[in-house]
Parts: sequence; structure tokens; C-alpha cells
Amino acid sequence: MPYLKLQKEFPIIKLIILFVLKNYNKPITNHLLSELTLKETDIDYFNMQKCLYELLGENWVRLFKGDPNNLYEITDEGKKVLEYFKTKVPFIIRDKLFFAVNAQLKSEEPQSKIISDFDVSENGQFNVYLKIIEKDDLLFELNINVGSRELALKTKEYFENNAMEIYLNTTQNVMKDIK
Amino acid sequence: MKIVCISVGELQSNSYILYDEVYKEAIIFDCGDEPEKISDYIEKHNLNLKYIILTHGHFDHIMAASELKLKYPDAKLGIHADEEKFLSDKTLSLSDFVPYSVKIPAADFTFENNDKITTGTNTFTVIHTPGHTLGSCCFLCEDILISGDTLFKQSIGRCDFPTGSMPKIENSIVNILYKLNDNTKVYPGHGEPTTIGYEKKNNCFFRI
Repeated sequence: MPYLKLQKEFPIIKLIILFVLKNYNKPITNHLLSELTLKETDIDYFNMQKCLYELLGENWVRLFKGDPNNLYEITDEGKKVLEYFKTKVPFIIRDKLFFAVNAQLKSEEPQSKIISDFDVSENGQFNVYLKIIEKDDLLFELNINVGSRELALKTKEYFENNAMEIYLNTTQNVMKDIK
Repeated sequence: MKIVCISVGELQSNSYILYDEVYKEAIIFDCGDEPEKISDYIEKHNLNLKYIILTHGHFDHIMAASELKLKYPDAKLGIHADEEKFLSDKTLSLSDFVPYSVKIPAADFTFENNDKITTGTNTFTVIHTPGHTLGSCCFLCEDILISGDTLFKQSIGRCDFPTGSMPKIENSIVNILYKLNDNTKVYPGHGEPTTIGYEKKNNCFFRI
């Protein structure tokens, strides 16, 4: 019970900020973090900023230089705190924030996008679907069967981080002897 | 009857495992994520899973169905007839909103209002309660009500998603669920259990 002593005084606003940061899942500006957090709750702006400042001091959120704005990101320790206290955020708030954050992420999707997904087939294999779409046209598609959910998640993650390199290597190999 | 709540996923959706301790026959209501958490309990208690019943078709209540069906192929997956199309439509099931999606199997059967589902010595009556979605249902067995996302402790399910309707959920709660005995224990799709009597007095949306 590493956070037992925090249980009584831990402000819910901090958990809400951590929840937004975790679900946004990439660095975020103060402006957007405030917008997402305040839009669906009745939290006061100044109270939110005070809690965000305290989260930085507790090393549950980190701040780093971005261009042009500084960016916030949840730390691994912050994720552990959120996991420990997650039931403290009322479902109605969690639900609203979840959809607000994911709607924001959808709106940010570029015209060229990397799509990775998986499902489980009837024989227990996991089908991993990997695609690169450019301006609504399919540029590259690779489907792989793997033996476990963990491997499917790792394959998906690897593709997301290296999609263009995989695409270039594959096309170079396929086309190297074509004159 | 033994009732066990397992909260799963980012939205902490409640998955309920109910079973009779004599025959060990089990029924699951909703399975939103983390199938291993659910199957671990089933294995540990040596249960025979007969049914996986979905209170409605939103992603946070159905995402583990595929893996559970794979592990327990004899378990029958059921959903209300009006909700069946949610299983194959990412917009209706809101699966578009999650960063990944797992294939949802087709239902083995559909049910209608007042149908009965029996496992071991327990019989559940289907109560069709549209509002959160068109085919949302609650399930009553003696004094236990599985309420899905229709009725929460001091709250109700949101109605702003496709097929949702505030007038319908009001009718479902006030004219159907609130007619049940005040001592009926309510096990919602999210959050803590409550009772019909408590909600009649304390629900923020519909108090009578």
C-alpha cells in the first residue's frame, strides 16, 4: 500500500489531470490540457493550475521544452498513482473526459496515418493489421498472425514507431531487381 | 446465489459473475475488457460458464467477449434484439473512440422483454429499459437487479450517444425500475451497488 498515507487528502483534481494526461498519451500543452480538463468539469482554472504545479513537484507529471510551447506528460510514477486511486474519480467525470480526450485525438489525426489494430481469430491466434494510409489511399498493408495478445501489442507498438522505415525497407527489397 | 463484481478497463466497467454454489453454473453480465481477470475467477472457482449476457452494446461492456467466447466456446452470448447491430457497427458501439479494437463475436441469441434466462437454480427476467441505448436491458433475479448503464448510484446513463433518448430512459427508470420492490439491490454497469428505494429518494435525475 505505497500511497496509503495519501488516501485522505489526495485531491480529485489531481487525479482528473492525471487521467487526461494518461489518455491523451502524448505530450500536451498547458492550453489544451486546461481546455480538455475544464470543458467537462466544473473545476476552477486557478485551482487546476495549482494542482498541476503540485503534480510537477511530486514528479507525477513532467514538463519539458517544446516548440513553441512547453509540454506536459504523465510520468510512470504518475500512472501508478492514477491506477491506485482510479476508482476515486466518479464514473460520470471519467466517462466525459475519456470521450473528450479521444475526440480531440481523432481531430488531430493527420491525412497520412498509421493504422495498427489486432483481433483474435477462432484458432486462438492474434491477427495484427498494419497499414499506412496517405490521403485516404492505402499506401502499405501488412497482416501478421502472432501467438499471444502480448506479442500482438508489441508488434502493433513496433509498427507504430517504425512504420515508415518498415515501408521503405519492404518496398526497396521488393523492387530491387525490378528494372 | 453468489455475485462477484470485477471492474475492468479505463472506464472501470463492472463485469458481474453470478453463480449458484451448488451446481457451479455461472452467468456473466458484461465483459468490457481484461478478459483474463474474468477468466481467472472462473477458473479459480471451477465454474461452468453458461451465458455471457450484454446489458447493451457499448465497447466498454463488450470488448472481452471475443476472448471469453474463445476460452469458453459453450457459453452462449446474448444481447437484446434491438442492440444486436451494435456488435458489428463501430459507430454504434463507440469502438471508434478507443485506440485499439478487438473483434466482437456475433451473438448466439437475442432476447426480448420478459424473456427468461436460467442458470443452475437461478432465473433472470429480461427487463427492456431503452434510453441509454435502444436495446439496453436490466436483468432481475429475486431481489437482484443488474442495471447496466441505465441506473447508477445517484445517477443515470448518458443519453447523448447514438440511439440514446432521455424521455425513454426516464420512462424506463420511473415507470419500470422504480416499480420494483424498494429493497431490490441494484448492481450497475459502473460504480457502487445501490437499491431501488435509495435511488427513489436520492437519485439526482429522477427522485420520487
